[in-house]
Amino acid sequence: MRIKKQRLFLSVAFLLHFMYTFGQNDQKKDTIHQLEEISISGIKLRDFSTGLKVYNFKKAELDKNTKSLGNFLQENTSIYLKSYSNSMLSSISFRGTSSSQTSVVWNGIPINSFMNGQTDFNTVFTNSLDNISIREGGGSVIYGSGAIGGTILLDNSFAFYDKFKNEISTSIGSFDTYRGKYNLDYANEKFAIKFSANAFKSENDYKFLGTDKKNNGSYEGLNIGLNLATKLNDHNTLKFYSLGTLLDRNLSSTLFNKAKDKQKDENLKSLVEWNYKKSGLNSNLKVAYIQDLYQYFPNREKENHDFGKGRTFVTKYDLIGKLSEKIKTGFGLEYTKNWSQGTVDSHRRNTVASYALFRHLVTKKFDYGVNVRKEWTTPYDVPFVFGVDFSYKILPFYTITSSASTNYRTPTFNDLYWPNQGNPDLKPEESKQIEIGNYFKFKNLEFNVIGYLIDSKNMIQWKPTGNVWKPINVAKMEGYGVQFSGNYTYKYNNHKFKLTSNFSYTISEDAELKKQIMYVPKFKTSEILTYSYKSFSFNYYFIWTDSVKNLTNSNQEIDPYNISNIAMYYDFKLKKKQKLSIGLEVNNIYNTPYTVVYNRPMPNRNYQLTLTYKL
Amino acid sequence: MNFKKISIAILASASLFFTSCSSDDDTSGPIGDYDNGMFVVNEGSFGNTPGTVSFIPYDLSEVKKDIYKTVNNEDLGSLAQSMTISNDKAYIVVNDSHVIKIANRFTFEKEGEIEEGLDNPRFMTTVAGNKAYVTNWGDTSDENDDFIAVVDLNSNTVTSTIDVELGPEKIYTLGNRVFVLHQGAWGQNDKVSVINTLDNTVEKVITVGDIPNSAVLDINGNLWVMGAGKAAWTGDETAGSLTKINTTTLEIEKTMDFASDEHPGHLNFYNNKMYYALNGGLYSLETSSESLPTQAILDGINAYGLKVGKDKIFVTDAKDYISFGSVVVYDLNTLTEEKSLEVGIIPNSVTFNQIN
Repeated sequence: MRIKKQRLFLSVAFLLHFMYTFGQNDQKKDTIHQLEEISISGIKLRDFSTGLKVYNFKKAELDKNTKSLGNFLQENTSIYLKSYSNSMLSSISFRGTSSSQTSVVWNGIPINSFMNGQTDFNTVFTNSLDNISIREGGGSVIYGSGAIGGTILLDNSFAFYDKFKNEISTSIGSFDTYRGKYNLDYANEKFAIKFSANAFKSENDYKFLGTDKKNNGSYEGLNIGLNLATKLNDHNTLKFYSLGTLLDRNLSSTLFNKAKDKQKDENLKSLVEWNYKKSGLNSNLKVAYIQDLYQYFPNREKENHDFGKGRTFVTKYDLIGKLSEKIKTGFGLEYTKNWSQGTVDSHRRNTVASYALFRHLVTKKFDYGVNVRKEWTTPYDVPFVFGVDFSYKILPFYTITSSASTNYRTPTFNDLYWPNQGNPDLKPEESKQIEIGNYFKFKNLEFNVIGYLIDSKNMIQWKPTGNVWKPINVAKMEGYGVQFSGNYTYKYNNHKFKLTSNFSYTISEDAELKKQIMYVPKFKTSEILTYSYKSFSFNYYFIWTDSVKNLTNSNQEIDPYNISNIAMYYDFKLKKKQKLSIGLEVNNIYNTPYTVVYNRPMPNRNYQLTLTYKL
Repeated sequence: MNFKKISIAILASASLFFTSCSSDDDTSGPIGDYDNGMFVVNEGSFGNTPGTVSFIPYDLSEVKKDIYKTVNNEDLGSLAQSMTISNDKAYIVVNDSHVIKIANRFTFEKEGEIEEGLDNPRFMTTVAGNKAYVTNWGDTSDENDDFIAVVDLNSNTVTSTIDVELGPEKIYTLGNRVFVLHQGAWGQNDKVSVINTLDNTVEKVITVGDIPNSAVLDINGNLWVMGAGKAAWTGDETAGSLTKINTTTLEIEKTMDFASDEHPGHLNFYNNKMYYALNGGLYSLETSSESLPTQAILDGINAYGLKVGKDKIFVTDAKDYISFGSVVVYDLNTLTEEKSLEVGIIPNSVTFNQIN
C-alpha cells in the first residue's frame, strides 16, 4: 500500500512540477510507434453485446473538437439532441425515447443525475475523454436504469509505454467566445498520467435573426480531468479517474422573454479502480463518488436561489472470465447509494444490483449471448431484465445481428420527492425492444441498416390531479424505426475523401393518442464530407432535422431545419515532434434562422479560430 | 434549470386564476370584427405554445382561435394571464413575458405595449379611464418585492410602484380605491390591500380567509371576497371562506366558512346573485343569505375559469392542460348545456367586449 501511496503522491508532485516547467522540458519522448491508446482493461463488458450497434469516437477526434458533447453528437450522429440554445440544456433522444431513457456511463459508472434522470450534454466536454462510444439500443442488463434508447460510454484509457505529450490550445470566436485548453499525457512502463484543463467564456449574445432581439446568455466554465494509473505488477493495475466541471450560465432568452435567470453547476466525479488480470480472468473493483450541485437563480442580480445537491457512492465489482476458448462469462455486483439535498429535501436510496453475462463464440462467424440482471431497492420494485443477442457473419462482407432486451428506468428523486407534488408510489418505467442489424463492409465502403421495435409502459408523466400536478405511471409508448449509417473512403495519391452518412427514421407514438410524441423528429440526418491533403483537412457537416411537435396534442410544430458547418485544419510541422495547427470553424454557414426548442433561436453564422501547439 | 422552469410551469398551470368581474352593460353597433362577442384568454402551455386570445360572438356561432396573431401577425408571448377592457382598448397581461399588450378591442389591431417596469404582472384594473393598477409578483423567489405598478394609460408607461404584501393577484376599482387580493403567489396569503388612488398609498390591509382568489362588488358597494383556503397538499389544510367587506368603513361585516376540505373559487355576481364553483358544482346565493348553499344548481363542471352573464354560464375547461381547452356554455335559466366550443390551450377566463 505504501508504494501505491507514494506513486500517487509522486504523480501529483510531478504534475505540479510539470506545470511550473512547462515549455522548457527536455525532449525525452516515446520513440516506439504504437497505437496511441492501448486498452488494458482486457475483456470489456460491452464485448457481451456484439449484437448491438456501437459508434466509436477516438481521441484524435475528441481532441480536435471544441464543441460540447451535445453539439459534437449533433454533427456526427443521427441521434436527436434537444438543445435549448447554444449553451443551455441539451438533452438526448435515442430511437424516440426520452432524455432520461439514455444512460450515460463514465468509465463504467452511470452518471445521469438521479435527481432529474438525465445528463446535460452541454456540460460534457470531449477533451477530457479518450474514447466515446455510442451504444444503440437497450442495455439495462449491463448499464442499469435508463439504458433504454441507448447508452453513451465516456471512457479514459491508459497505455504503459514511454510517452510525454503536451498540447496547448487557444480559441477565439464569435460572440466574444474565448477558450483555452491544455492536455498532458505522460507515461512510462509503470505509470501513466493524463491531465486536461479546458477553460472557456462567452458573451453568447448572438442576434435572433429577423428580430431586434439578442440572446442574453453569457456563460463561463472550467473543466479539469486528472487520471492516473500505476501498474503494480504484471497482473495488478490501480487507476484513479477524476473529472470536475464548473459552469456559470446566464440562461438564454426566448423570443418572448429576455431571460433574467442563471444557473450554476458544479459536478465532480472521482473513481478508484483496481484491476486484476490473469490468464483470461479479469477482476475489477471500482469505488466511485459523484457529486452534482446545481443552483438556480431566478434573478441574476440577486443572491437568492434554489439548489439541488446529489451525491452518489458506487461500489462495483465485476469478474469476467473464460470458461473455455469459446465461452466467456461475467458476473457483477453493484451497490449504489444516492443522497439528495436541496429542493427535494434530504432523501436516501440504496440500490443493490447483480448481473450475469454469458457469451458463446460458437464459430468464428457466429456468436450469441444471454445476459440477465436484477436490482433491489426501495420504495419500488425493479423488474428482472434480460438481453439476448447474436451476431452472424454470413458472407465475408455481410454480418447480421439481432438482439432482444427488456429495460427499465427508475423514477427520479424529483419524480418521487418534489415538494408537495412528488409521488412516492411511482414504479419504474418498463420497456421491451427488439432489433435486427445488417452490417456491410467492403474495401472502401461500409454501411449498416438497423430496424427496431420499442414498446414502453408505465411511462412517468406529470398530470393534473386535483389542484396539483403529479407524476404518474400512465403513458404507453410504441415506437419503431430504421437507422442507416455508412461511410465511403476514396484515396488518390495524397488526396483522401471520406463521406459519412447517418440517417434515422423514427416513429414514437403515444399509444393512446396514436400521435408522434413531442420532440421526436421522424427524420434526421447528418452527412459529413471530409477531404484531406497532407497536412490540410477540410470537413463539411450537413445536419437536417425534420419538424417536431412541441406539444403532443396540439397542431403546433417546430419547423424542420438544415444547417451546415465547416471546419478546416492545417498542421505546421515545427522542429522535431512539435506541431502547430490552425483550425477554422464556421458554423451555420448559410446564416439560417432555426430553433430546436420552441421559441429559442439558435446561433446565426459564427466563426472560431483555434491555434494548437503540440509537443 | 429546466426542471425548475417546468415546475414553475406546472405550478402556474395548477394555480387557480379566475376571470375578472364585470357588470353587464351593452355596447353600441358593430365597429369591428370583434365587437359583438366575448374574448377568451388562453394561457398557453408554458415553454411550448404562446398565450392566445380567442373570440366567440354572443350567438356562439363560431370561434376565432387566435385573433391577436391573426390580426397582428405576432404572438402575445408566454403565459397570457388576464384581460382588461377600458375605453376602446383591450389590455392583455402576459405574465411570463412581463408585458401588457394593447389592442383595439373592436379590430384587435395592436396599439402598443407596456414593457418597462413590470415583473411577473398578473391582473390589471383601470381608474378613471386614464390610469391603471397592475399587480406584480416581482421576482418569484423573493417574497418581499411584490408590487403594484401604476400605469399612465396616455403614455403607456409605469409612473410609480406601490410595495405590497406577498402575492397580489386580482384587483378591483371602486371610486378612489383599488382592492387587491393577495392570494400569495407560489406561497399562501390571506390579505386584501386597500389602496388610495389619490396618493397611491396602502390605506389598509384587511385579513380575510386563506387564499383570496376572487371577489365581486355587489350593488350596495360591498366587496365579497372568496377564499379558497389552503389545499391539503400544503400540509396545513384550511377551509374556504366568503367574506363581506363594507367598502365605506373597510371593516369585515360577515364571514361564512366552508367545510374544512372545501375549496371554492370563481366568485361571480350577476343579477343580484353570487355564483361560485366548488368540487365540480356551481352554486348560487343571494347577498342577503346568512348561510352557504348546500345544493349545487349545476353539476359536472370542470371550471378552470367561470363567467356568469348574458343569462348564461360560461365554463372554461382546461382539460389536460396540453390539449385545446373548451368553453362550455349553459343556459342560466334552464341550466342545460347549450354548446361546447374548442378554444386555445388552458383557457382561463371569458371577458365580454364591453365597458364595465
